[in-house]
Amino acid sequence: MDCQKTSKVNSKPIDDIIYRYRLAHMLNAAVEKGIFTRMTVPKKAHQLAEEIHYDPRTTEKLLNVLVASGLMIKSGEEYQNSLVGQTFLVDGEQNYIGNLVRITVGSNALLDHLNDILKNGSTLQRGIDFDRVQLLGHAEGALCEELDLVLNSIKGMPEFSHAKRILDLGGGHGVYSMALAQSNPSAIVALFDQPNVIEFAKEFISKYEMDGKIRFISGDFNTDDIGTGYDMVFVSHVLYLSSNLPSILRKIYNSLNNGGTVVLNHWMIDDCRTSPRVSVIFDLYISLISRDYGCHTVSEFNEILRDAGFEDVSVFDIRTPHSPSMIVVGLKK
Amino acid sequence: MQIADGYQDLQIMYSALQYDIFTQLSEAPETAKGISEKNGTDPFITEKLLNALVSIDLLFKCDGEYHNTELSEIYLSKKSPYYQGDYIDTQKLISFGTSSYGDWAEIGKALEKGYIPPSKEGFRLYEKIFSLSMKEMAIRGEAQKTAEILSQYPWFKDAKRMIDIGGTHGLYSIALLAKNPKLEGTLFDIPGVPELGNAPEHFKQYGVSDRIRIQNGNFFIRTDIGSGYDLAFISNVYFLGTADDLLDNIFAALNVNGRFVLKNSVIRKDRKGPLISSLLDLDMCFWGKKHQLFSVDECIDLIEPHGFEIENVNMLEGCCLGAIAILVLKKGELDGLSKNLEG
Repeated sequence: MDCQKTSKVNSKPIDDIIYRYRLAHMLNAAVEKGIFTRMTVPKKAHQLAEEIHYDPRTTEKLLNVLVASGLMIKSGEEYQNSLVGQTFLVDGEQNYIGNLVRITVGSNALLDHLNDILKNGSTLQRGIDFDRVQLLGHAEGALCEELDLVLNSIKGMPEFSHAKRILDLGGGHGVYSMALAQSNPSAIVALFDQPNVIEFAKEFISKYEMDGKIRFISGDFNTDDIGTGYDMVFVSHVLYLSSNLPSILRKIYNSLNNGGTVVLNHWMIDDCRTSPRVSVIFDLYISLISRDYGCHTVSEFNEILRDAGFEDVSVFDIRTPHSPSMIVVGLKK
Repeated sequence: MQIADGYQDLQIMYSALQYDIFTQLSEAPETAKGISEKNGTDPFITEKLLNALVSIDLLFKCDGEYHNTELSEIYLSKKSPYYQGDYIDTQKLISFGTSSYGDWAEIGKALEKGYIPPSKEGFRLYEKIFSLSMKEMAIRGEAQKTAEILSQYPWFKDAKRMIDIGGTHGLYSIALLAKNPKLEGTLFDIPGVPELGNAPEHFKQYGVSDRIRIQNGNFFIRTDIGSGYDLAFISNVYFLGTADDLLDNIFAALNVNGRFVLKNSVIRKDRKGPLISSLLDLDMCFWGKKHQLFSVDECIDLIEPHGFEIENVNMLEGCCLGAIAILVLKKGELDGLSKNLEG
């Protein structure tokens, strides 16, 4: 009888899925309320509750969960950030990733539409919004996950050290523009993005006192001219669309000098389209916004680059468990 | 970031459960087109959903067809006796759906406002899904493990009458009856709840209908739940701090030297974990004003004054509700009041 014998297969993976959902939302709630930013010094639960106008009973339980998660420590009745909490979740700290947490968990709202879209087929039919939280989140993602890996790959390219003019197309926050300018001080680096994003980038870059080193170009790369005479065009996490991808890559090709390179840094999906997990789920939820969005495979990028005229296409695998990015490089001969 | 991106898998699994994809694939493997046609869903998004299910190891793909993995075949197909779909449904909600709040995505709002008594419509404790969820939690292993542990005690082998308080689905009763052929049982619960939990069907299914009866009543308040029992069993009492009436009811129902067995989620005394227990303790805030988890020692301190003496504590490993303790307490000769007067 079933209720006299247990199943041979452990159900723990199912429980883990449930608890990861709960923890993610709880962390997001704590970040949105700025709890870690307030817990840089030891405090009792009721003190924090008074500060943030939270229910004292639930505040204490929340802090206990954060302790059990390793994000806080508890000594007697007092709570304080752990090293991890202090390093990554205190607003204003160098390695703060609170906005990245917010946009990651915030994508939950998109998946809420999954059942409806499965049923009626029509997607949300809207563009991807790049508000301040989105842009900060993407900047934090670049800084904490990818920047070193991307930069190390690019620094090894002879085309980079010889480059005099570099374009960071759809460069958003400007983290890569700054890194490229620092790594090759003799190059002129231009950041191209939509006008509202450019305003943000100017402000963000000025915090690092790098605004004098970057040129800013406002426009829509789908429709506007992106300029010419570049030795390198860098494109990071921008080309998750399918319909006009060939025309954009052709535009990039035309903007490059002979001997120039395009460097594409994106989350890639495997040819089977069932791995890696982060890319597959990203591919699902951006498809809910529009059928025109999706993750590409390396072979797809390879083919489109060749169709656009690029040669000597090469790939750098810089995937990590949380950021399955690969760099695809094409040369204009 | 490992914590932050953890929400996605449940959303994906939940959608697949809503369309009962795992039960369909249990019958035969299928292509994305086939699944989409069967369910009348958009083929483009269906394929992406199926691929996402592969990426989280709930399906695998072979020659263009999607198959259940061993895990999903056992726990996510309605054809399996260990199906967990209703449990997952309630786990997505704050306090298993017993609170005024909805999905765990609303936890920020809940943390701010704390406990709010739920409206009658919002309260799901006596709904079928809640009862099924409790059944699914029990059948995945907790009922079997609990019965196995208790069957090792000499007193259990001699027990003749048992009462399963708040037993809902009856699976703990069935598992205990199977371990002692001389045992007869009473499932005591709120009127209508055993039916919601399909207890009568379960008793028939497992051939114990002639050894167990259902008795209705409100065990939360001081009431006569019967007498002459050698074993009183209860599971998951999250209001132990205010369970005086319940504990007195149990004392009155047991024979002298009878055993009271409480199977409960527990937390460390310093509240620093384990993590699942801490999360459950937080979740309980929204269920009731006095609902919470206690440590093993705190449980004992709350129960013993009602005339019981702790005999044994066993821990259940790998349970869905975190650390679970099985406390075995022996009824003494004096009830709580007399004990206090004597003291």
